[in-house]
Amino acid sequence: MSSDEPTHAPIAAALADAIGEAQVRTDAHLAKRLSQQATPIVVATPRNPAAAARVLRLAADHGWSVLPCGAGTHLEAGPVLKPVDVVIQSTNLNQVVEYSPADMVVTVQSGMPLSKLRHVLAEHNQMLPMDAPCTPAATVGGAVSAGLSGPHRVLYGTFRDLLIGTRIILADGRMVRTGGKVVKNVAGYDVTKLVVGSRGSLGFLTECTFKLKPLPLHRELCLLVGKSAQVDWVRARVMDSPLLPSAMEATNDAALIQAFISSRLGTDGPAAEWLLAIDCHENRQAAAYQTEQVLLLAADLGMHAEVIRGQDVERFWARHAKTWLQPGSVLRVQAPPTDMMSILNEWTQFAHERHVAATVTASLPAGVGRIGLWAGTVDEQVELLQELRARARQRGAASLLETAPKTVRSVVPMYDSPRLGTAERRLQAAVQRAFQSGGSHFPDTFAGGMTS
Amino acid sequence: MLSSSLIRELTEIVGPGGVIHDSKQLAAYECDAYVAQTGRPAAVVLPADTDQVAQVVRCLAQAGVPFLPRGAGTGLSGGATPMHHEVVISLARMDKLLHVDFANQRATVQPGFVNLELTRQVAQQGFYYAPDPSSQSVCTIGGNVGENAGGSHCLKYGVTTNHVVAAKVVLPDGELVELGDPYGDPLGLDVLGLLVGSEGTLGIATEITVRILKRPQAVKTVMAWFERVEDASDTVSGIIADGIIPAACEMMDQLAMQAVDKSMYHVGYPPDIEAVLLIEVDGLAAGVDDLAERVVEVCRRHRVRTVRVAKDEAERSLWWSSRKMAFPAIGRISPDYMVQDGVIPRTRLTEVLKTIARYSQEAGLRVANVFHAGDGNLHPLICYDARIPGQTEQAAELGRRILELCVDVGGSITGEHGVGVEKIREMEYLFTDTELHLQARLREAFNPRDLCNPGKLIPRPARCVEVKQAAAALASHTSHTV
Amino acid sequence: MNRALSQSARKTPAPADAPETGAFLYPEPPDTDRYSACVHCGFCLEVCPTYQETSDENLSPRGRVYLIKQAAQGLLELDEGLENPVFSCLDCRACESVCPSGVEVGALIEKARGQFHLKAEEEGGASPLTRLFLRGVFAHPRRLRALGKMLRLYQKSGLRAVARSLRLLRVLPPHIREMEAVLPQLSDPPALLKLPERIPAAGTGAQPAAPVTGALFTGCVMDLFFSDINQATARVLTRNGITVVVPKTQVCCGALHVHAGDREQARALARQNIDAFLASGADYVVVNAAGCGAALKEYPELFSGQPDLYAQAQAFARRVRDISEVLVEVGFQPPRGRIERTVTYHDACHLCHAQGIRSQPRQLLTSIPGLKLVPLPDSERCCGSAGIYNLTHPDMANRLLERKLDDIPEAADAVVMGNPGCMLQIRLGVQRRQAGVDVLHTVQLLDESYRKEVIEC
Repeated sequence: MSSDEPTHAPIAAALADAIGEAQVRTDAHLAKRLSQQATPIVVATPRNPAAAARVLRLAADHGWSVLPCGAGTHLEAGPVLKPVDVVIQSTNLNQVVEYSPADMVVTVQSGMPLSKLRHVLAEHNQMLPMDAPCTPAATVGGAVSAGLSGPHRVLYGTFRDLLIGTRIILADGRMVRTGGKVVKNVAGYDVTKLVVGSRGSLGFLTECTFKLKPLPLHRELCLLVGKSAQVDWVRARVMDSPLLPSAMEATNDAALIQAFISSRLGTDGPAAEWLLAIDCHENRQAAAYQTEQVLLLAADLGMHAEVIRGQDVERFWARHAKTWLQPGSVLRVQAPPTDMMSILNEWTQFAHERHVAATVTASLPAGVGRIGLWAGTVDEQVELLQELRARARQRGAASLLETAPKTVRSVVPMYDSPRLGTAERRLQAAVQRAFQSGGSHFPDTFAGGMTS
Repeated sequence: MLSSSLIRELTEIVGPGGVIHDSKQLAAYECDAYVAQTGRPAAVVLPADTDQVAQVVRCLAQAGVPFLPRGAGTGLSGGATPMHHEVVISLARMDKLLHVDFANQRATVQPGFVNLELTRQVAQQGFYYAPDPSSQSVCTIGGNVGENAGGSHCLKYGVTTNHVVAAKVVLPDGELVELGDPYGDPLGLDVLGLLVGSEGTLGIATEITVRILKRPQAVKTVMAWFERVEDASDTVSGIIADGIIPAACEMMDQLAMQAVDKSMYHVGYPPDIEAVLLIEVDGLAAGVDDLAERVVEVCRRHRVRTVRVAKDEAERSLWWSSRKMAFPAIGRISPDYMVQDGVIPRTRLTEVLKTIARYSQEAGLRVANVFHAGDGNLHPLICYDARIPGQTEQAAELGRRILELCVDVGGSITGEHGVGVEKIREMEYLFTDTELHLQARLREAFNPRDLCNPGKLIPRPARCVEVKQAAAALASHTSHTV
Repeated sequence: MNRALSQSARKTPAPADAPETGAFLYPEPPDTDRYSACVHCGFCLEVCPTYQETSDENLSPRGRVYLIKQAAQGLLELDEGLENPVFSCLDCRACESVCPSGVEVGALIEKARGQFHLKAEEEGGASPLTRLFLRGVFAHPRRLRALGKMLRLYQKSGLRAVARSLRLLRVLPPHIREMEAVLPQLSDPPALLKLPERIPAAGTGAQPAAPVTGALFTGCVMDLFFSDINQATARVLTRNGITVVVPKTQVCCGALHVHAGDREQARALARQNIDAFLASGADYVVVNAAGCGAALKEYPELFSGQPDLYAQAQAFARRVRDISEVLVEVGFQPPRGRIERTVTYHDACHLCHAQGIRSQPRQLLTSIPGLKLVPLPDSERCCGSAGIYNLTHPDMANRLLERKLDDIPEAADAVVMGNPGCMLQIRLGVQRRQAGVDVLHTVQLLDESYRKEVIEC
């Protein structure tokens, strides 16, 4: 920050001068969402990368603090920021730059909504297999920066595996490409990896290139209902088999279970505690075999099982996502698949004891679980989150506060891991500095994690 | 030469059998599998564990002596070639499998552990390690991490970086750091992702945790012979367009077929076909037949001469050996060769191959093509004879033209072999000064004294460029704000 | 100094057809074409026993070939920097089996050793091999007590000439007493003396379409320690309708000389054998020792500069067959005598790597009723015997022997192989561990089964 505290008006004026008045506004509400500041934030929505570069150069020149951002759908994350002068938003950079279906590679501007990209790709029977819960406005670049992932990471991996190139404007306004547009590339350092989950700390992302996958020709999903131990047993058996689940999600989401199971079973049905959804993106013959095997496993254990197909599968995942879009606090745990169900059980029990409404879900083979706390006061949530985190740590598991109200995030650090040592954090900070040379005005979006 | 006190110190760390410093015993470490440039190391040290590596590095760093890590020395870009009298830290003795967790599908190995050996060790339980460079019977996982090695099956399963989840790394100052998390995502910036493929310039991985995968229930391998390269290329696009992601999709041209048919992996390719495709599909047994049939169908649509599915494991294995041994088999038709590693968008295959053929004619040097067609990763093998004055340079020039062609069609100069010393100049063709400058700064963040494998991966003058760049940026910046 | 690409110092520019000599100043230098074929890919590293043990590039096939190439280009001297790599090689040829470029490492090593041998002769000093012997051995006089017994053995055998030429008798390696303790009794007179010059094919069993004659090569080690195996070989051949002749003027195959670099002596032996066997008029030269078989097949290598002799050597080499090879080729009679045993098969390097014989011995073994063949893990890895390697490099040889013994499956009550050197070596290991495992030649089991059927009928 420059010594003389700038106010928003001159910033807005200077930016309007540089990129046009229509692309600059001030936003008081956003200021409150992001940080404790009283002054409004100036929001710049450049229409092209050159304009974006001008914004950053001006900011570097004047010492303004800048936060890169997409549609702003995932801002309830990370540490609470020090005051921000300018938010540079990608929403006006929303074009397909290059799409070659035969190469199964697409390059889009970072502000393109994921929902729009999905339609573009579906026309060619292709998809970007990232199914994190998102609102329709959520942008490609925002999702990459936030490092989002969804249940189908079990088969397809995450952005880490799908993103093959980017364009970024550095803090000093210079443009760099990372990676490229070909699916294999080891020229130079794999800087693209750093961009995934970088939370805007490295630069303003203007363009992303992804590897694509064919849309599954056939959809078939097994839903198993039962006790935690049964779910875990099925997990172990499936993981030790050649079966190819595209997702294997365990959840105790009552609304989901109600919508897809209980409503059909009626009141006489078994008390459903856990739902295990095993999806399959293989061809019809393979899916039929997998379903048969999964149903045999379920029958062995006396679990209730159903199979849904086609559009119903989409509806199921949409309903699953819906729970995780409601406001609340979401804590993620990363643990060996063999530990996951017991961690989730423990967490659920804790939440229950504290009378905080909570849901858990986990992509079991990936070792990623989440608990969402949907009620409770700030103090209750903070206390519970710290307890949950401590339990995870006792088992050697890392945890990450993915989403939470500002009041919670100001107390609870973003990361906790028995493995994330000071040396790694120091390297992360050094990497960040390498990017910010000559600019260095991005707020530290990792502060909570880096310093705790 | 190292000082005798330094040699004594190193010997104290790794034991007397672990230091090679007699100049007569150093020639064998002059190069890896890229032989066009060589350099004599100051010494070779063979540590046995993480602690020894850290001590060796600390000792060298304190003495200000440059060093570089080396696995099996099968790299194809000179990444392990000591161009500046580095001390070679050979990880060949760190060849243990440290831990396997079958239930959670993870294995932890030392860096000198051989790639294929991991698959062998976990095969009994139905697992395998997916990245499969052609040299997998020899190359080490540490080397694979350094180069971000690929392989034939990375079309479907990804390259090394997609399979490495955590690592213990000795930084260039000797500090030990643990990177990554065995499950889920990296916490904070993905420093491990940056390390993979950094060609030993950011540190030395001493313990590596990787995913192991369940072996596919069924595999079908299809071999298809084409009279025209175009038809083979179109077939590759056709398969993808059909919504099939083969486990692997490999192509060889006539010259490569001839060479490998002279080796013990004799398939018996007809002399008049221009291209052979080797396509593999895998998955659940119930679905694989259908996939293979569809692949065969696509081949037929593109004027294939002969297409068939491997009848048994022995045939499949012969076909794969024929492909995997193709590089070195070139030794049977040419005294020397240079292998390039350009990547292009798959759809530009036919056009690029034609241009390469033209370049080859112009240079008067034969070029054999062996490549991962599915992901557009070309391996043009430039045949030459170093004993003929000037031919090495001609071959290098032809290689440079081919790589620039790859860049021009939107591709890259290397898909899996790395930059090493070989493609340093092409880096300047691929990247802008700003981009190289950023990479240089990243290296400095880890390796501020540039002692760890200096001069590899990114061109050294990037630091001078930095000065010019800063001046230029300042100038344009000033003009703008005025 | 770095030799950068532009300087092109990797190979001294020279006309492509002019052989490079560099440090190799003596006749028969390693062939340019052979080392040029190496593209330095490193595929050989993992199968090389000495690299596996040391992880040292100098002791790998690729390293050795690179050093030979460097010496040929005058970048290295003919001194100890090259000597240890070249002489520590087992010459097991495992690298040749995996080399995609077809580099004949064995031939390169042998010719490089020839250079050292000639250099030593010229300088009038001890050959490098002899020097190896000297190291640490003369300092231990008590070890010389074994000398007497060994001398008697050597004197009785064709090995005497070999040992003399290598000045072997002056020294004995440290572990010789141990070795000597497990040597078989020498009660049987050598087959070369005992067998008649011609043994007609037996009347029983199927006859080959045309009459076949096999000239038996009896070998030195084989005939000294295992003359019963030579006898068995003759029986098995005649049992399968092959007339056996035993040329009485045959001598040592010369393999050990070639391995040691003494090509002149090897050539003399080769000439005598070529004459003896070609004169016999036999269709095949049948060998039951892998090392001898490989050497006989490679005789042309010794005469590359002499067209007439080369042609003769080729005519000879074309007839050479391992016993397992000839039986399968001619079509052997499956034996009917039951042998209820579980055995495992060790691939002698000079059978599998040097001659590419892998399936034939297994075919013979599995044809025996009641015999169960269980796989030996990594069966193609050298046992450490490697000619006289176990005498010259006892430490490395022992490490490899231990690994070989570790690999023997528990279920097996015998290890079967086709080379007397391996038999002595593995027998030593078995004895040391007191493992209840027999060490047998393939032919012994086949012969036993044939003989049993006579008794049973």
